Amino acid sequence: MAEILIGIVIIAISLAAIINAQSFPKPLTSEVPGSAFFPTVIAVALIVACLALIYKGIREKNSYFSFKSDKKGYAVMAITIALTAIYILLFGKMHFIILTSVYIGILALLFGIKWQKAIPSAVVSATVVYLVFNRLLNVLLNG
Amino acid sequence: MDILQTMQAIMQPSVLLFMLVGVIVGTLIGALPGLSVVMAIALFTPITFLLEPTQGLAMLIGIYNAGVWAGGISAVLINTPGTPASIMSTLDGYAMTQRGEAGLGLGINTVYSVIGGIFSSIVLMFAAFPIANFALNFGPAEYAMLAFFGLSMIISVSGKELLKGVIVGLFGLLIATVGTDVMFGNARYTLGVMELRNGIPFIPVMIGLFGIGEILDQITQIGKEEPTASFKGKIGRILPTGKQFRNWLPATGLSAVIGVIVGAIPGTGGDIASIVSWDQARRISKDKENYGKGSPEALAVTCLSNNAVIGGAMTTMMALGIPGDGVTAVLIGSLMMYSVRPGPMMFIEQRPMVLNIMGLMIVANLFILLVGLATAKSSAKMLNRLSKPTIWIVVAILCLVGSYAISNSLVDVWIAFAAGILGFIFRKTNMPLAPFVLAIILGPMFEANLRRTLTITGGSYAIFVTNPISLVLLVLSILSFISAIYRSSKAKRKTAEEAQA
Repeated sequence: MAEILIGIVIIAISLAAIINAQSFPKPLTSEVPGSAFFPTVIAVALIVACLALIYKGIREKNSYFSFKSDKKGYAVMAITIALTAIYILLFGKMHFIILTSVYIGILALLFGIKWQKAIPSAVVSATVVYLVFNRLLNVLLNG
Repeated sequence: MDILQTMQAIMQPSVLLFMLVGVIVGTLIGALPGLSVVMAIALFTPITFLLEPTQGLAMLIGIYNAGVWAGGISAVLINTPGTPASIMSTLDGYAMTQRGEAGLGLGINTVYSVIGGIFSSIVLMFAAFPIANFALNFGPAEYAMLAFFGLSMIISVSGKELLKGVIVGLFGLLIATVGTDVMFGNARYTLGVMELRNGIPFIPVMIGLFGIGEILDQITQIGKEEPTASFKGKIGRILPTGKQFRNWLPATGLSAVIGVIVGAIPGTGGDIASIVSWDQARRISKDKENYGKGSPEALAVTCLSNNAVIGGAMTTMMALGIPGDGVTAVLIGSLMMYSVRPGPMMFIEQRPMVLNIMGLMIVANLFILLVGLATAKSSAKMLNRLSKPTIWIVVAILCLVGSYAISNSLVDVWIAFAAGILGFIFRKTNMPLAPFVLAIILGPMFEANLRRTLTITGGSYAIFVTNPISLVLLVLSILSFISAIYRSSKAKRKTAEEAQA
């Protein structure tokens, strides 16, 4: 199933690339490849390869994502992705140490670290990261 | 004069300090299974931009050399290679640990990794300049075919998953077209985002693929594996004797040469070097019956060859501008952020930097010798202390803040995040990552030089067969395709036969 989905998604991207490439400026002579040449050739080759992948997926029916047996793991992973997206959205809008402490603290609790260790470690780690990157390496962090 | 200036530049206390930091970081990351040297280089590259070039290079070279060496620590102590290059070290190294010779195993890993590293650094010093001089004769046609030869390695680094490797490589080539067209100046696939005008930035993509992608993959196994890797034995004697060192000379000498040659071939790495060295050394060894059963000589052979790869890979990377292995692929991106394009022109325009890199390679190995022998007994305790959740959190923060630090832009962080999810999907569906890295680095080089060549020849492709250097590279590329396809189908047939039996 995964192979079929990946094949379909990449084919869709490739088709979009080919269509978009038609708007690139054309060269003055036909012998010299223009902007559209390379991406179009690659996209066509990708479509052919992905059709072979889809065929392989239908024939072999390989399973890669063991959602049933690794339910907890995938749930934790999904929450980690969502948390990280929220962290990036708030990055620059909130105080770095506060935001990063909360992010690290929630991750630590999610990964099974006890709150007595997670919360102090989160605050200390966030502060250390801020000091190293902002004070030592002059990276602009909201603080 | 050059030597004096180089020594003055690299012996600065600040440079040595950052080299030591790099060696320590490389040791931690190399010794911990699941974290790779590529990840370390990608993670720390943004930090090195905030330093002076020599300081930054010192740190990266320290990470590279130490990371490869340190993979042998967990291979010897807990039968788990810290990096793919140390796979063969588990065979004999762990058997030695089980016999109560863990200390000797760690000592051999350190001493012979340093010998391999120094040997290949000397080769780099002598081989890089003549190769770069030769490559100065290259025009667009030769560069196009050189890039094509490098791209042909996509097949050999794909292993058994040939079709998936080709798809990942082609996808990487398509991603590499995002940005401003080098010849016509128009924007391609930038979606109106100004930051993408210079193309999708390489370092955040590497951080995402190798950092975030790896920890997401590990997180799905939460609760199923041991929270920490653990070693509970004794360490004991560390150094081999003078007699052992003399007896092992033929086998270790052979493995040094194999390591450098394999490292110079694009797309290959320490894992291939150590397998080939182990196999070839066993043929000439007087101790062949003990290979694979705890032979100290066999361990010396594999440790030496996988560090000897580094100089070979750096020679190819610096002299020709094509990556010798996955780490040098990321290093090319790192050097380009310093506005240095690896290749023959680097030896003319950036000669002091070239000499500094060569000197830093030697110094890095001397640091590894000191750190390795001093920490042999405490490395076991270190392995026992670090839990996986702690590693995941540290890597996540370094990935996110590190990506931001490149140019204080959230676009880089989002790119790393998206690449991380892509890297996770690739890992879960057995899609190899190495072809993507090769394609991202070599795609622009191939396209630009191909189009330049066709502009010069008026659209004729004949130059690729009439030009001798191009023809040789084209033939090598075709041979590389054929041999990789043959090896892949042979491996599949063997797997099918074993499944039937």
